[in-house]
Amino acid sequence: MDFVKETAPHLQRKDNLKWMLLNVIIALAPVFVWSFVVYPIPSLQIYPLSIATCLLCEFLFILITKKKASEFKIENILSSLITAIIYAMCLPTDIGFASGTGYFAVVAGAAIGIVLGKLVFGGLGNNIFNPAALGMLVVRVGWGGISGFASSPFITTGGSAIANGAVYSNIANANFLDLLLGNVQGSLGETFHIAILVGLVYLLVTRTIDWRVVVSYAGTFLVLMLAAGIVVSTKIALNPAMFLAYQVLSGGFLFGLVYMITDPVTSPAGSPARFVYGAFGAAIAVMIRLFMGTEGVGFSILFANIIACVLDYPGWASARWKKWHIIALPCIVVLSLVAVVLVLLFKEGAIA
Amino acid sequence: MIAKTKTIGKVKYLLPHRPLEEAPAPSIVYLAVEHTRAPKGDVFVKEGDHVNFCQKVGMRHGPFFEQPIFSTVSGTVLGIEKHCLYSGKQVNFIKIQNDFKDTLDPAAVERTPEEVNALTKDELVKLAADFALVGLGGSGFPTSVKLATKEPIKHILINGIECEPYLSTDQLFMMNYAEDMIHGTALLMKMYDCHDARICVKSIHPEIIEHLNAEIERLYPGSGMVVAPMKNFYPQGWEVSMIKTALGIEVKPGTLPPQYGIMNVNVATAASLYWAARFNRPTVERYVSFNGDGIAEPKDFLVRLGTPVTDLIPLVGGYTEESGLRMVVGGPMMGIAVPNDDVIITETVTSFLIMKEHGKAEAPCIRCGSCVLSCPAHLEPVLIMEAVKSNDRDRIKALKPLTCVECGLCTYSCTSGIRVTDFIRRAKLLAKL
Repeated sequence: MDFVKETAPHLQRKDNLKWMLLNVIIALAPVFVWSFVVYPIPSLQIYPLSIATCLLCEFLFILITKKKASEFKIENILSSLITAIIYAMCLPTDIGFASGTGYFAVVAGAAIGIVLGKLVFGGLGNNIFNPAALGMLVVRVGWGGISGFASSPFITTGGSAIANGAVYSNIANANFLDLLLGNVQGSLGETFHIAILVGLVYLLVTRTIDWRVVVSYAGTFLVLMLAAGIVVSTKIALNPAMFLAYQVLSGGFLFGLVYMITDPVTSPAGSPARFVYGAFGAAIAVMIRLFMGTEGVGFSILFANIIACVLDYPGWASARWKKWHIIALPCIVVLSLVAVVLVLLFKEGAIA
Repeated sequence: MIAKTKTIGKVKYLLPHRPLEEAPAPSIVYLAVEHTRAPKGDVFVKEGDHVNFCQKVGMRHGPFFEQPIFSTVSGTVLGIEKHCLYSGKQVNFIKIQNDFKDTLDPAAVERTPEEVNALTKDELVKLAADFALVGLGGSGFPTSVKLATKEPIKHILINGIECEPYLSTDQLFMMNYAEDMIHGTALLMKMYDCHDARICVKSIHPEIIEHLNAEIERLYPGSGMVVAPMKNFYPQGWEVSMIKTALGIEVKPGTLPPQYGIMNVNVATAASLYWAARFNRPTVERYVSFNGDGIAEPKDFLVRLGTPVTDLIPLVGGYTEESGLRMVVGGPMMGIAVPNDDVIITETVTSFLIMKEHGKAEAPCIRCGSCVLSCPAHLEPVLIMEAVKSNDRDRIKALKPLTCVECGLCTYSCTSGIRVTDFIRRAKLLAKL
């Protein structure tokens, strides 16, 4: 009797890629639902356009490269769907939709994000940059001037903090409960922190994301922001803990932490490298926020994506902690800590 | 899922325990004249000759050792025939018709226990060479070469871990041949004047540990021989993992256990040394298991070496399907899939897995890193795969693929169902160029 030829091993783990991608979509669901409840009109304006654009780009890419429509598999649909949803959630709720520019902006951002961020590198699994972060930054940079916040009956407080610049004296007046619940103005999805935390727990429990990235990104961010808070409290009357809580709950920090920096494709492969990767990203995010008075999480993710390639450089890359990992990780934290403290202490107008 | 694989999950179509049955003596046995480790061989008998049980009928020549071939039955030589080794290579086999008398060769003279005790290290090494003892854990490495080490041995580890899932022939062996194995271990201890021998058994087998403890207490109390419970993870049976768990010593890639004062042998190998010393004869039998959903009744057998597998297939109820089955010789993680069932049972065959198709579809790699987390050799399989795909030899070398032991965990743990281990094998070839 003849048998089927096969190489060892002859068993495979039961999990598969479809489930892993589906888990991300499930983890996005609470935020998705919440954004529809709070911003029904902007949701209807943004989600369909972004999803349609991303799916179409991915489909055309498959047609061009593989020449067969049947190669457009469930994995491709799910991964471009994830990109589309994350991208949409990062967008401002109003990009001049009244004049019609907003519709163009959503499509252009999604197309540039997925094509330049992912497809030109070879599609699913080959991208260097997070396509959603890239698309979001295209819109922020290109249409930032006309971006604003849609009105919603749920929103009582004005301004998702970071949009207001580094006016730290306002922090004392912020309503932290509103910040936590998302009753503040902000992007389509990034303010709903409870929903995001539910997603985080789901992703960690199903092991869809690596806890190492989460721990190092969040840990470095907290350490640096706490130090910044202490420096700020010496100049103006503000509790460092309030400063820290405000930085965590405002802007896209939690959203980026849970859904964007953790994307395994754009993370380095080795586990020690993932700690370095997260710490580097967080240091960039903190410095952009504090030095430039603008949201830095999106940029920090792209910067971390670049450093991921360096961390995977053969010869440096290692599955175990090597000397340079052990030196690099505290170096990143300490050097950015020194930079943060010095700039806040000595730069004119760094603290207002 | 981004997760380290520690143990191999349950598989519905493989049975963890199978009934043990006695296989009838084979009517014809086949003895390989050459094999992968010894690519040349001479035959001392010709067609029509009568041979005795345990008679030397040929000699294989390896690169650094000579390995005699012994008849495992008594009977008449029918000639030379080509058959497959389970590595897939076709080689010559001596075909012997069994007369079912098992007439013992006159050369196989028993030694008394006192004579066995008086054997020196050199004599034992010579016995291991004369009776073609090999590593019975599956490596097939000549035991005499291993035992001849000049390094001082401080620890002896007897490997009864059998970490691959759904293998249990070593467990059977430890339950049924504990005494012989313990005698063999005692020989090794005396040979190296070593007073620390540990029989490594997974802690999930308390019945084996209890049995062995009782036997050691009965035969060699206070000799320093103990049973060491091991962790239940894959690949705990890999010598580097076993030494790490048992002694806390890390064997670095490129070095061998004897350099650290450690001698590690398989349980059946230890017993075979005792048989060679006590009864002056080679290994003629071994436990072999048949498992999987490709056969009707999975079973374990005690089989004469040289038995063709086709003799045993009717005993396990035959195949369940006409085609599309896979037959794996060895464990499900490291075993070899053979092209057809023309396979002869040799010393290194532990198990046959006959399975239907259960593979998962391949998807693009998303660099989740499960392979990196799982790799027991601390390699980064995903990066090696990328380097192989881009055919970049410098990159491949920088990632040191030669430390890979091909345990198969990278393919097993791959979320995307990619056969990563195949890329690593290719990387190993490219790195050697």
